[in-house]
Amino acid sequence: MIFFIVKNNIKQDIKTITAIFILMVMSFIFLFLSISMSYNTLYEIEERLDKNHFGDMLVLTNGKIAIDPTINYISENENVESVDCKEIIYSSYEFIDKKSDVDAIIFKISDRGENNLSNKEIALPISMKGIIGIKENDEIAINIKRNQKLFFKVKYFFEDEVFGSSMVGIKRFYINDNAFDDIKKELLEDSIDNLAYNGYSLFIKGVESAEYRALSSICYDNPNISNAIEHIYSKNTIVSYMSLLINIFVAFLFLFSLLLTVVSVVIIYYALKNSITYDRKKISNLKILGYKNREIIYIYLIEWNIPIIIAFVVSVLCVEYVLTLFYDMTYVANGIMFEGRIFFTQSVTVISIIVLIINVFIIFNLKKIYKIKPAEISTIVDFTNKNYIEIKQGSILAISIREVVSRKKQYLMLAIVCILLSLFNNQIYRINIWLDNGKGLMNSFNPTDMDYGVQSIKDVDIDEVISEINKINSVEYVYLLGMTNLNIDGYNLRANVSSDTSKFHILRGNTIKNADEILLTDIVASNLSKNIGDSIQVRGTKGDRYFQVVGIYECANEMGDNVGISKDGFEKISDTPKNFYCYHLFLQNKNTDNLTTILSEKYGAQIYTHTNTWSGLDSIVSAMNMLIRVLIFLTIVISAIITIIQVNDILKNEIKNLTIYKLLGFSRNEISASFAVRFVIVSSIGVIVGIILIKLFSDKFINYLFRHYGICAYTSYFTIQNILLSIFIIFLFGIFSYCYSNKLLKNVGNIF
Amino acid sequence: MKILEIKKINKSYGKSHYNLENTVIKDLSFDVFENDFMVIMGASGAGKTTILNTISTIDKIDSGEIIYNGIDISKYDENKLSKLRRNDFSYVFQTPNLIENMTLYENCIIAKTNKIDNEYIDKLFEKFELTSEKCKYPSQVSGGELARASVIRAMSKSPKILFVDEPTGSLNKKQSEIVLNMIEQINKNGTTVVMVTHDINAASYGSRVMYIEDGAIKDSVDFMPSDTREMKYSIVNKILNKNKW
Repeated sequence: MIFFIVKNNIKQDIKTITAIFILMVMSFIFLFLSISMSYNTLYEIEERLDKNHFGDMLVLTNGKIAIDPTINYISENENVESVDCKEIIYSSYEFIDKKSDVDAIIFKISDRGENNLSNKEIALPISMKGIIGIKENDEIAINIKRNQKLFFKVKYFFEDEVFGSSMVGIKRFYINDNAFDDIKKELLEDSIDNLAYNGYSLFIKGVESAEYRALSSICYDNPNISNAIEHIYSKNTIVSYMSLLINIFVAFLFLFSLLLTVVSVVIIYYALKNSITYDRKKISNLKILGYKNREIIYIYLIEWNIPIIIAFVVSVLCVEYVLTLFYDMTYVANGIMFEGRIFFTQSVTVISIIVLIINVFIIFNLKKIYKIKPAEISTIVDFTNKNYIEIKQGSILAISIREVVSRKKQYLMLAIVCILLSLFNNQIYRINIWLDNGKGLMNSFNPTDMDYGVQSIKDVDIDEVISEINKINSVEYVYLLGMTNLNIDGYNLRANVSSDTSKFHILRGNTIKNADEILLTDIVASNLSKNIGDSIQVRGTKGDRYFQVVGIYECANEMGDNVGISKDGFEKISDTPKNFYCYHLFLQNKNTDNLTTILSEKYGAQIYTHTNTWSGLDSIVSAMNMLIRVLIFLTIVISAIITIIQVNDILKNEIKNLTIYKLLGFSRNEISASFAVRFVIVSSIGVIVGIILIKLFSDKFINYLFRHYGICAYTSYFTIQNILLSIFIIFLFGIFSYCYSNKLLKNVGNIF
Repeated sequence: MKILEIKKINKSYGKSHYNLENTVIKDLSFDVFENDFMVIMGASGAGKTTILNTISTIDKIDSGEIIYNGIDISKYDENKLSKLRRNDFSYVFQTPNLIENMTLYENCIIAKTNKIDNEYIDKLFEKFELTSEKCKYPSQVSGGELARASVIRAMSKSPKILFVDEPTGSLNKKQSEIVLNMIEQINKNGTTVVMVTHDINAASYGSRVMYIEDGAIKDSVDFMPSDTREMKYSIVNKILNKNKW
């Protein structure tokens, strides 16, 4: 008999139950995706690195090192288990009009255990498709010497677990062994025209107890090795870089899931509350028939858990397909096709907790059933004690305001959902505005400001280059910035060395005024437990020296693991390598496209130029655009669902009034307009509350999140986009409520 | 002069349990004249309320014509019907059907047309001795006061026709008298009244009585202006007895 009543109740509440089902399916799928993707990323990249003998650290050196003694020196260290050395060639590359920012590292194809490339063929990482738009059979130029480019036809794309993500600038290419040897042979003849240069890639595996700090010290403490180091990466750094983009996706998916879950909880709470009010007479009659409170509670528990359980089953059935689809869509950007394992135990645990929370809300609501007496007449809502603004004209606006004010509780669900939508949408837009097509992020990653950077790679006189730039675009200011690794209190950290310390982005304290002063990022300050005023030991090639921390600055490079020091300070503890500094220029004309082309024609690869941009930015900007599209879709779906539920609720409660309005001569369109006005009033209030909450808490919350990624100076502000977005949410509710109520009101006729 | 012409209207409701159509009105025709006070009587289930609902456009007819001021209003779309209800037709029901979250006064304000100012409503409240109650909510006043408020609401737009369904059904004798007097006054002021009732006393306020059985006119009588209420009462009583009421 209970199931007969449940069936009957479901029939009665079918629209709300369907809405909850849709929201829960989406919420569960997003949860499954975010949890599974997060675990996949965590395990799979490490598994692949292990499988391909990455070890614990990757050291990339130039060819000026004596490789055999170096391998012996490293291998003999007690912390090292094995060293895997490969020959490499560093070279810039070009495809049509796109030139590389960072040199690629070219390997022999046999290093991959393959031999499937001819002399003129090349294998590229899959993310190159997205970064420069290259396809199979296209030709890519490798700049070996000045005025000598070698063209290679793209045979296939491969998955690179080391530098594969489009967030990473440096890329690995594979060519035929003979072609590699020929290039190497040419480069060994020392010529002023050489653009590419040879080197070695050392994968170092430490013993089980070895720390990265100990392993990196082996290389940095030996001047022969440290002078030849081009790049050095720990396994953790590689995993962080490779998972950065996917983690952004995971964070967004989790955010969506959170939004959908909270909206579902709000809907269930209010729909159930209304249902009990509406079913009061029915519940009372069930009690007369001898049903116990507990049995009636079971009826409602079963009814409201049915959409949740079906949603769970459907999401389990769909998740594998959706996950594969998602990985397919993000394959090029991630650079790796993940296996797409579903982490059921972890996902089901989280979902169970959510379902439990929802059931707590349901049971909390169902407690009201105990208060309903047998043979009770339906409750009469008391409107008598309220002082409302008197209706002086029978206008739609006046009637709508009265309806909203006198039935405030009925519109709470709509208001809460509007607050949530406003919070989420405005927040995402504020981040997008801060992102400013990448500029905001660039400012966070760049230790200092600039318009254009130029650095000599060979023996070009940089002053000559600057005077050349001056002819094209007026140079307003020049300062120097170099990047190196220094041992800071025993840790190897990236150091940003600047000739103008006023250009550092200071968050707290002061910038450097004297040579023995240093700036830390928030992350380093927290890792080293140092504050402004503390002293810190810095070791360079010349020896140790104590520096005083004078300020906290922002630079998200190396996930915030870096410090800032002055040129004078650096020169006191370290020799300055040749071509160490990049000249940062401020120009009158900020458009530098033309400048790069002219300098490239004149100096080729003898100089390195860069603008205030970064290859990973495109991926973040496109991820952000995708996120905004998904969020708009979700906003439309949620608005439609909430409108359907809310309009049905109003009809249930006000059917008599609506019929009276019709009899008094109000047309269907006028009554629908009154629905739209009510929705616009409530959604406007919700949206405004959402905006106020954002103003109060948002920046603090996002700052807290971003700090984990080394971004410390996130600030957002309200713009016209936010106003338009708020209007969009209000408009959605207005238009949906008008159309849906208009459709339903067709069937509202005579009840007398 | 005819204000409403009812021509061969039919109305059935769905299929019954025995798969038979439930015909409520069958080929019904009659006219309502301007300033009439027409009373429709009949036993329970005779189809009185269905007739009132169909001719007042609350309910649709299956076939036939309802001519109002020379136009067949049974073919009107929703918007035209709304306009008609807004300007020309008013309704009073057995239950007052006031909007519970509005005061009695506000219930009347939302019903009036733009042509009528608020002072007219004030005067109606004053005239029917409801001024002290006008700011009260429906749940705060008595059944009689609710019924009076419901008539004031019907009058607040000065309708051409007032449709009344069992106005005294839930009222005591004194309250019934007040409400019927109000309706009589509306009629005297020029509004045509069509009223459904099973109360002989209420019927004696009318100028015509129509007795309905199985959705068709069984008997009817036109009173003379000189007929007193007692005489009308006695005539109606005879009709009812004749039809084994």
